[in-house]
Amino acid sequence: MESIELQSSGGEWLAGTGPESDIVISSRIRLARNLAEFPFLSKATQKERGQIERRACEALLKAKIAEDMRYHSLPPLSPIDRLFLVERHLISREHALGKGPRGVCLAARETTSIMVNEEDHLRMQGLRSGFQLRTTWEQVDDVDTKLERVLDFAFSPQLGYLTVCPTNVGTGMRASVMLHLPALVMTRQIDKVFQALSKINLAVRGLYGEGTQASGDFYQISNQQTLGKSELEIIETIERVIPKIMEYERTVRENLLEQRREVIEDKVWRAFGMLQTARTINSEETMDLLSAVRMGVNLRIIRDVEIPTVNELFILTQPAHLQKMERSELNSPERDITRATYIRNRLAGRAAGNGSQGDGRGGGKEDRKAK
Amino acid sequence: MQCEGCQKNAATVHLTDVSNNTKKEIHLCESCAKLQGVTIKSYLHKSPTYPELLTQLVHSQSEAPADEKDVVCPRCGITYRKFRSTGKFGCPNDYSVFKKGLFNLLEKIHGKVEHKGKVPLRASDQIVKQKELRALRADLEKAVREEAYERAAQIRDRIYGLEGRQGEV
Repeated sequence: MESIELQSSGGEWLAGTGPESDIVISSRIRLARNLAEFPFLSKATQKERGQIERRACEALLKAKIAEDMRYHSLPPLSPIDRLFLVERHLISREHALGKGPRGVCLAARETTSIMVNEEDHLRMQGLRSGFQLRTTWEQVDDVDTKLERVLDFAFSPQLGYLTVCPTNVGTGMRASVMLHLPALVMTRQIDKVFQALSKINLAVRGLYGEGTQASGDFYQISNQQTLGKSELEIIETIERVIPKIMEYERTVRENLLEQRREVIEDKVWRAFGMLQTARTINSEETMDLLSAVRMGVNLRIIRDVEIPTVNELFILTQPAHLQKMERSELNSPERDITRATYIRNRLAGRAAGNGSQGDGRGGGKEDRKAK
Repeated sequence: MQCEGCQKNAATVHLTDVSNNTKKEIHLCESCAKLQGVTIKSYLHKSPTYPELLTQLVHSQSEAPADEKDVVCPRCGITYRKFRSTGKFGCPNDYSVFKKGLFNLLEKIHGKVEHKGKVPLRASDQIVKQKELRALRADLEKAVREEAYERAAQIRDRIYGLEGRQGEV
């Protein structure tokens, strides 16, 4: 069975280095494309799916998208490996759970991923750290241009790129930014933001996109309409609105610090304390606590933890990542113990990876921090 | 938490009012909130998925004439009726076969029915030219509205250039 190598560093987008990365986690652009000579996947036979995949792979090879390009066919991968790709935002949950010939091409340090045979024949994604939709668009646009030299995409002059779902027709583009908005959630101002966004036809979703719950105070804001505006016009709409939300979040954070410093410090330190000491912890609680710690680091309440460490913990503590690190299948209670150990070690400044070295004791550094 | 309005129902609407640096929290049940003119919208926690949304939109449309519902795509074999129930097309050809009912729907989803974005290199020069002309005409209108006549003249010349016309006064 083929297995995907675990990269301890995570993708570029986790670096926490991009513009406005205290609030904007990542920028993402995806394009939906279909091969003109095949039926959509809703009507394609298994044989046709196989042909589409082969055609796509040949094109990817010819187009030379990036040096480090690699194609992973999904059926031979273990369920853990597939979930691993979902957790890293490289494929959708539907793609992981789907059937038949399908796969994903990863390139450019995971900033480019191209799903083959998801809802549309091709779903190209650019994913980068921080607020940089334009750079991300240029990257995906380039991939698309290289591919269309060797593939004939379904296109109509009137309606643009034709997609399985009429909600994607036109540009086939979904541009989204993932925001971390703990203060707006804490003060229950977040609904106001959603109301305003829905008025200008922007959608708000949870951490893993369509149909997922918000967790860890992460929200994805994206365009709903794909037809009638150019790609850059869509990007501009989002670019105009995000700074306002960032400003709102920052103002509320400052107000909280000014007016209720103890309350916010208490929340941050308690969360930090729990993560440093817990012996078993589930995913959901981890997300909530990490969210408070992340805000604490950004507000300089916690000073000896780096944002990239927190960002990585969000991903590396998820079920498939834990199991890949441990190199074995773990049931849910086992994962909770492994997760707690891993977080303790990581926050105590120990090296990441093979969690088996965790001895269950935090070490002296924790006592210092916990004051 | 009890509603501060009727003192009876559970409070599900929480309002925060900040004025003169004083923060006031008000907790109301849905009906009291409505009485006070608060619009309630619940997001995220049950926002419809795209297929759901689409199906709702399709159903909210006036019924298409019976003959249209039975239109079959000769290429993939799906009917308009089938598309309406699944929200998914069977092949690119469906967009032209179901054109009649579709434009209405696309307008509801996107507000517009004209692609303004990227065009594949392979698409004929004609498409590119038409797109560019359309964009330039929009720019021209805008320039005229803004009384930026110098810019308008430049845009006009570019339009003429593309149309293969000589500049006119």
